[in-house]
Amino acid sequence: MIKRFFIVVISICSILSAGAQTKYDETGWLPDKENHLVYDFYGLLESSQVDGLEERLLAFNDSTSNQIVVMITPGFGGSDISSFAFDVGNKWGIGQGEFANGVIIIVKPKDDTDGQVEIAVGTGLEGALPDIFCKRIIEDEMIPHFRENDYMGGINAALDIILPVCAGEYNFDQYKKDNKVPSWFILLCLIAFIGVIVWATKNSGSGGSGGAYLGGYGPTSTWSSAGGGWNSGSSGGGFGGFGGGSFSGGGASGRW
Amino acid sequence: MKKSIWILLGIVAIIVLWAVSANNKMITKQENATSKWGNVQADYQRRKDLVEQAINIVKGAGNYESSTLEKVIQARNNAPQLDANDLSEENIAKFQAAYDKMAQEMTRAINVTVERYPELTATKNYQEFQTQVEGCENRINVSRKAFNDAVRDYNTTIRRFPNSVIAGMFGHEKMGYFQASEGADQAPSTEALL
Repeated sequence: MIKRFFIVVISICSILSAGAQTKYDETGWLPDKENHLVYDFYGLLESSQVDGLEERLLAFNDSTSNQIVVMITPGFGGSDISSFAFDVGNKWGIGQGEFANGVIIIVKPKDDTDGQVEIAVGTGLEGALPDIFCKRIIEDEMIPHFRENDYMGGINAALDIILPVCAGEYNFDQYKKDNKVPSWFILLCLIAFIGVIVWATKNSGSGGSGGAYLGGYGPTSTWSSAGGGWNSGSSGGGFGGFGGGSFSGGGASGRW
Repeated sequence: MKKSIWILLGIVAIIVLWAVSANNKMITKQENATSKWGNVQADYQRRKDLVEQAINIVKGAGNYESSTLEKVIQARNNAPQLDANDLSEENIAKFQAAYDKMAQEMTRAINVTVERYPELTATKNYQEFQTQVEGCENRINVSRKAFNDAVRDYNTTIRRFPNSVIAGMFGHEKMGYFQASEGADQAPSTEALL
């Protein structure tokens, strides 16, 4: 809450000092990552809109593991919008680990200078969101709304398309499956289990029950530890944080 | 007497172990840079494939000057592959120059065509082509940056004393960087096409 308050204060300051070169245009400026998905450095959206958007993206992150960041900024750290987007994506690690399933949408509203928009796509989602597709979303869905100063409408129209497409490419079940215990490990446990049983039956008597208990214990503990590790990644009420990256240049940009 | 031999042997063993681990570290970093080069090469190959499309667009427009196309084709044929073992500053500069020339000729051919047929810019082919040029240049920028970072990491490691001694012994040489493009060999922006 305090963080959001600061962002609003900073954004207001940036508007007041408009005209002069702000820190957003300073070479090398790159925002610090915070534990949320919507960033409005421009102070363009109302706080209820920011909350609504955050909620939508958070729910999407929780249900599909795809991370989508929306950022509204007056400048790109002296760089062009595309390079800026890839830098943010890679430095923050948007997406989940090796799956690189992150998307970052950057909007620079039209003021004295042209409006600009970029959809940068992590390598894991480039199959679902090819460059040309992103370009179409920008030109046909976003810019028409942006031209009428309906920024929220433009962003939502883009998300209406992007979310279902990303969900189809890479869904929650697949994510769970990929994070399962490797099969060789299960095999190893199985062999150990059989070994223990064989050993236990050979040494029949008091050792039998102890051995069987030990064998049964091994796989159970592995399973629960694997489940726990996965849970810490994306469950719970709040945002679990970033941890991926790998933006190699996929996406598209537009100008109006 | 016996004790001092043991101490000496111990010191030698420690030095050997350190040398082996330092050497391994350098090899890892070099391999990392080399693999990043693979990405760079793949992204430049993408640019080469785009030239093919540009040629088709120009041909599709009909009534083009064959000299324009010849230049593009020649520039494309001159764009080399660069083996990961020859990544010296000079070779990389040559590689970059050849591909930038190719991109320039491609842009020029397209521009000439668009001047003659302004209606071309409204076609789906052309718009998709534009998006692909943009995406291609973005990918090249990103992979070039990643390659430079990896090379910087490797070069810093091998040039620092005492690693430099090991690097000299095992023949780890400095790798070249991509230099920032000067105005002329700046990647063709899509706005320039319009």
